[in-house]
Amino acid sequence: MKRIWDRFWFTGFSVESLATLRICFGIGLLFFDVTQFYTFFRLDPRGPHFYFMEPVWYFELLGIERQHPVLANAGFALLELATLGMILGWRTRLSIGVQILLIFYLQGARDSVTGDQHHRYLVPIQMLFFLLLSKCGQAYSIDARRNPALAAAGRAVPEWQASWPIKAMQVYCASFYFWSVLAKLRVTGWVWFSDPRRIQDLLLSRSLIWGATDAGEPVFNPLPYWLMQQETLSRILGLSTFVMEAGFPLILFMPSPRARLIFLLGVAFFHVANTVLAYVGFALFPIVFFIFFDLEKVRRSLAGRFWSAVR
Amino acid sequence: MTRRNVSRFLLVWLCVTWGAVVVRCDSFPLTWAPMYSAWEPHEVTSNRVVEKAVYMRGMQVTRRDGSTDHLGARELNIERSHIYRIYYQRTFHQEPVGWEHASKNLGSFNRRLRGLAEGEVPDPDTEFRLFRSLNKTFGLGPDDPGFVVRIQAGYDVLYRRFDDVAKVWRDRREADLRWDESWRERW
Repeated sequence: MKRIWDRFWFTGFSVESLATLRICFGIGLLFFDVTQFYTFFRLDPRGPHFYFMEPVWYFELLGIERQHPVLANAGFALLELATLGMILGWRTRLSIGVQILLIFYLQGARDSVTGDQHHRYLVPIQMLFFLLLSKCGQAYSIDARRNPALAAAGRAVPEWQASWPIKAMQVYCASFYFWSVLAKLRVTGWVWFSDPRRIQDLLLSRSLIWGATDAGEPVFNPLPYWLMQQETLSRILGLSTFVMEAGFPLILFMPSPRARLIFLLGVAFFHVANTVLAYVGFALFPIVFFIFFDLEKVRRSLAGRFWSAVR
Repeated sequence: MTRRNVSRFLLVWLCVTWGAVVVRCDSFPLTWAPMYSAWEPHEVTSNRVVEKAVYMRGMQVTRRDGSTDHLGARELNIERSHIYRIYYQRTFHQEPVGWEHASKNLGSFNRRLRGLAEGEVPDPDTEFRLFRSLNKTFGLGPDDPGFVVRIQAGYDVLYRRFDDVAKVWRDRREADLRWDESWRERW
């Protein structure tokens, strides 16, 4: 049992893998953060500070009651700078810690207005947490360039120390999708997947989110309206959601990177389709899928191909 | 951290994250991922007719001095999706979806944990929260002449059957919320 545990958590990655993950995930986050918090720009900095209808639990604990447009926009700008700091490996741990705090604040400021909690940062925040605990700043970073001792320590990081944070991120991400199936079964039951009306209902309500004509048809994007009228397709969509979410943990045991890539491209398509058809804002969520690959191997392979092409 | 301590840490972390799933905790950063999980089978579907100009203008409010005006996205300084939820959902007693996730089909363990009797659902207190937010945003207290004592909103609803979506019929829904003087104690 111990051997299986150790083999799962403590093998597979190097400190360079961690560092390339930090860079790639960070670049994705720069854009992801914009999609999540750009709406703060629309607020009038001199306008009233809205009193939250339902503050998130940590705002309630800290006594934060209002949305401050200036603070939110400053926080957003700082978040992008901290993300840039993480990408470059400049004061890496501090940059990651600042990002975590700012995401807590900005997500709270957004979700407390009416109390609708969004779930898009759950996996990214766990990834940042494990990057914070890891030694991801000890390679490919300004910190390591400036501090030779840190760079030397980075080169000496054993495989087990570099592997467990990435494995923990993988486990969390796979669990997140699996929990989603459990939640649907617990709240609604198997009928969620088996009854095409679930998907039809969602597509219809979302197709009408921009308004309806007198005949009851959507005024914008007719695709979800057309799709909801295809009962068989809606049934397939419901069942494929079950297959994808319930089967997601299998990715932890797929040895072939190509198989993982094909599966994750399918999941990414699912998220993009959800955004187009149902305005579910998970289109950039696949930036978290970097964790399922050893990006250092990818980098070496791409660099090798590039240099052989140049020569 | 030593390898042994990392293993211990991972075990604790797994217990915490899976524990949140068992008790249906959806408080960031813990979750049980209940997005879009709540649904009831039904034959006739209803959808509100969304009118951007109407919800952006906001709810009609009556103040303690009898004057009326509208409170919308611009006055409240909130963005479009928030005024959409306030106008179409909160004003019509539709609580944040998390309330439904947290209370629908609860097992006996989770019911006991929340102190809920069989069949009892938690009260989201939406109406009071709406009056509190609209007034406190402008620093208004219950005795101020500008204090909002009435909130009104309305929209058309389209009904149709899943097997004949082209055939629709309309209805009108109106919300008319009044300030309850007994809420002063909680102000």
